[in-house]
Amino acid sequence: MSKSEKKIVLKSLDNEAFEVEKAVALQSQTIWVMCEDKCVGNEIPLENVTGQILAKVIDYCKKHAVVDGDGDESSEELKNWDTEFTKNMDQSTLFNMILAANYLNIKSLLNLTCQAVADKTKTIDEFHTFLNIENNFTPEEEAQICQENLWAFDD
Amino acid sequence: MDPSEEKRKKTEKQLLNLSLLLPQSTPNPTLPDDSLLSCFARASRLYYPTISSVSKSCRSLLASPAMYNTRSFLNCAESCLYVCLRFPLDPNPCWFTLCRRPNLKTKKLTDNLLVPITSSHSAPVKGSSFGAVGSDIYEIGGLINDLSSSNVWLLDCRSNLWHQAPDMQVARNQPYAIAIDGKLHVRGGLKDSSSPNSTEVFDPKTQTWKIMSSDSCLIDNVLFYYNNGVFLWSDNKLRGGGWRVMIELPKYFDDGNSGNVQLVDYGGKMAVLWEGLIVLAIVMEG
Repeated sequence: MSKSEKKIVLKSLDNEAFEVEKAVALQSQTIWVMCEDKCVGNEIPLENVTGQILAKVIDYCKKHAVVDGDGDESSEELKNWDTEFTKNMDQSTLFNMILAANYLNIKSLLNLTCQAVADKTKTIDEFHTFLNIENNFTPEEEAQICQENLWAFDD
Repeated sequence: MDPSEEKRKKTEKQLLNLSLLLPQSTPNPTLPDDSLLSCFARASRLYYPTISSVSKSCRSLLASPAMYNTRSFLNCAESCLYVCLRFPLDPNPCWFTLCRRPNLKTKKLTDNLLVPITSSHSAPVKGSSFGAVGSDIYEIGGLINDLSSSNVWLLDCRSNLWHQAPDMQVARNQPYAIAIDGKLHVRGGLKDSSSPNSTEVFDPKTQTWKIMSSDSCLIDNVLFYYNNGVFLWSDNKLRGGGWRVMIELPKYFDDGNSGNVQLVDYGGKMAVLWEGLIVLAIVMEG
């Protein structure tokens, strides 16, 4: 295989180009299908992902392309790496990573990022603030829910 | 202007326009419902009472079949404890589910507790029996106004709401109910215990009840069934479930000759009674 066949160029929404190993990029089912279809050349335009997010996605894919298939020790290391990867991610980056993982169809990344959101949201307030979900219950419904949830606040 | 400089300017301009379209540019980014579903599906069910208090859409998302399917698909489906208590003065049984209380200071879940399920069905029933298939708990038969009932209700544990299920073909009080192979087997509880309509089976897929007549019996949670000279058995605890052949009788016992057959639990052994013919006892071991 020639060098050019091994590499692939991913182009972000804001026209940032990333040259990566094919094995790294093909973890995305979306890119895999695009390559299979042969309807694209060596450069794949990704219209839903910004350069900033794509760089992070590629970081993740690089790490996972290298370590996958090795022994137990490396899978432990990979797990730690994953934890660190999402640990200090701000809310907007995390959301964009979920959207990107969804669009690019990278199951393990979607799993990781959705789990990170699930881990960060435990109380009703956290759901309102972190996920920006508006409380749209009517006052009557709210009163009923309060009644239903007395157990949760009664210390 | 230098061409590369021009290109950079152009890109910057594009970026500026694009930034208006990007989710990260909005001050309050939100996730679409399918991504929220994906996140909620990974949270323990112990958090569900909390999540359903967040907003209307969260509440309906949690109760949706899509949520149950996603959890099953992700291997996140959990077994949940449901407790039913009957109090002497209250005709309606009270239902509870196990939850954990969020500690508002430490933001961690603390003690386990049983939270009442607020929805209930209209009919006050005494002496009903219960069986669970998939994510549904069935309340079967019992006495309504001191009369045996064929009513069946089901508690959908995804939404914690009660619905009416198709009636049994026969009214039963305190029947024996067990789920085998994704179907609900109900026997006994009849006014006249010699009635042949002893066992009936509900298939949730077709939503129909079928009478199995008296040629089946349950011993130590193993269901035995006789059909056309063949004894079959099914154990709920075995992987795969389904019916297995235990013994095949000689041709003589094929339909026509076998007459009315009754299987009875005889102290852990199965007694087979043929009408007017013979009595055969089969010893069950283990």
